[in-house]
Amino acid sequence: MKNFLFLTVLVLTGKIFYPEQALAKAKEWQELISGLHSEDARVSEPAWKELRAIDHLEDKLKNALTTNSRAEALYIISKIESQTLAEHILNEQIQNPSDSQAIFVLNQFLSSGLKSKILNAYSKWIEDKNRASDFRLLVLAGLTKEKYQVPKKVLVNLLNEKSYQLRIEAIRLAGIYSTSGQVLKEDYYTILSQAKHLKPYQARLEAYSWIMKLSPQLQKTMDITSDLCKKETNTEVRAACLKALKVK
Amino acid sequence: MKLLLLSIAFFSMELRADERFINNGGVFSIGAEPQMSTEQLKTIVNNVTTQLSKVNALKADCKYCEDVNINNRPTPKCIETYSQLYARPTVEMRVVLGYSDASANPQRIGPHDLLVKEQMVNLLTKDCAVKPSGSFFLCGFARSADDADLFTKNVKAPNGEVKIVNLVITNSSVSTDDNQNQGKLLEQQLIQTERARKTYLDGLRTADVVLYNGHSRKGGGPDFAPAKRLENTHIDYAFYQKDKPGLTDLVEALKERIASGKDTGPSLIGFFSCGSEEHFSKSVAAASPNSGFIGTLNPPSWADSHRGVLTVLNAMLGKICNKSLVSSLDQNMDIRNNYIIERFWK
Repeated sequence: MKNFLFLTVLVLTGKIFYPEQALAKAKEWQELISGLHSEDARVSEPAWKELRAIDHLEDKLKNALTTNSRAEALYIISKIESQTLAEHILNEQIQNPSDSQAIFVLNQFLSSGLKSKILNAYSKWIEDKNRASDFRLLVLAGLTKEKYQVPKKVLVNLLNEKSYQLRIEAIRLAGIYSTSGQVLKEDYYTILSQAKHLKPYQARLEAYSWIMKLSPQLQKTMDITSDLCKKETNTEVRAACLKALKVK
Repeated sequence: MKLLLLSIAFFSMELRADERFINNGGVFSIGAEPQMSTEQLKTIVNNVTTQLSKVNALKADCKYCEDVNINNRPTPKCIETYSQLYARPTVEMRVVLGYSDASANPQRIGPHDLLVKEQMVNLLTKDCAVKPSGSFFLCGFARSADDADLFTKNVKAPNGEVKIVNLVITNSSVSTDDNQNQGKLLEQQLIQTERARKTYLDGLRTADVVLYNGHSRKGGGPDFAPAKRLENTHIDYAFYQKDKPGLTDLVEALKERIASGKDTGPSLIGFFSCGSEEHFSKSVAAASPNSGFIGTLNPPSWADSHRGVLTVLNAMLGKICNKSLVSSLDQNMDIRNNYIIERFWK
């Protein structure tokens, strides 16, 4: 109990680490988990280097990923600044079916030395139809956060995904890119024009919300006519269409 | 040694304060304990999602309109309850996922309303031919071609008539990035917030089952927008407790429905959020006395909230009776005996 409390104190403070005093006596990795349940608790990379061999903590964490305690283990790993553990998760995801919880962890390592490896995997996973759509949504969120520019071809393919949300995300990215003010190699704005006819209505609405933000020059290329707006069956989208027509 | 004991005492106090803050619905009031395991749910989801592709439930001439309870001698109360729920040709059900503040802390991992919705969609639209054993009805929904939030399934009423269940699922966050939602995507976020709010309030005005999974905001919820925060980034609970924006809208919508005299309100209103029984039950009962209520006694974990919604939805579709529903709400939850059902059984 004393060890546990001391461990908790150590982890919570995040400042002092005397692993040789208390943690060397830790019997179960669950004790570490308990200490890390606080929001602010983190284990720094140097601290983990000292800790990981104690009572096979690192192996225990890795093994826990294959048990019912997986979610808990992932949570703990997300708190440890260990590229080794993150790489383990990355390799696991390369080989195994998708787990969106793992992407939450990997997204935290996007600014680490693993960045290029993670982005490389992400750029493949975003196109991988065998992976769950919630997994791919989170991958896309990671790519966006890192300002990774998803190629136009990939976004166009996403427009035809079974997942409506992936379609919407593709339009959103096309919108963000097209209104960024930067000179882009690819004409992402054409995706917005294409999306005016897409289902579901939420996708069309997303497209119009970005069309209205385009430069006047690009807006002219959007081919919005009163006929198009009249044909629109959804009232919300029709209103957006008419608004875009007016702006144009 | 004294120094050590003093340190322990000091930091234990801090820890207790932190726990109190979390339990009172702090930054992450729903997932008070982030260590929840979503394993069980994931197993069910994976079992179903990995096996089959497209489904067209409406074509299946009700092949999967099973009803275990009707075959298993349900109580008269149970039959009466579900007969009322399935009285109209179309039964309207709504699940609205409140705004998840999870991404406000980049170090936190956990389910997010956008992803929870996606997982639900993947589950509900799978063919019922392959499903986990037991009474499982969360399958076979046809997705609307032009509405990302609408799902339809044929379900047998207790009298054997086939009814159409329209299920609307709407989430509140436009992306998983809280900062982006209040920055570059603010315009889209405002639209999404309003869509979720409208889905919820319209549901209270017209639907039969309305379930909310989100933050209670200490009685100021349901909430479909990013949290109102103080300068120190803590949630402004004083505002939520004083103004009660979500609860005020909710009560007005219910009163409007009752005043119209069209019916006696939704059959079931559920709150899968922190301490919702205490926060919402009385107000719901006052505004719509004949509506059933389901809520929590303590803060549920995110996983429990998610499992709770699925369990209740499954019960409504399968016409599962009281004892089985209570038992399934208790099984596999991180917190036992946390859900409470009031006024639902006729």
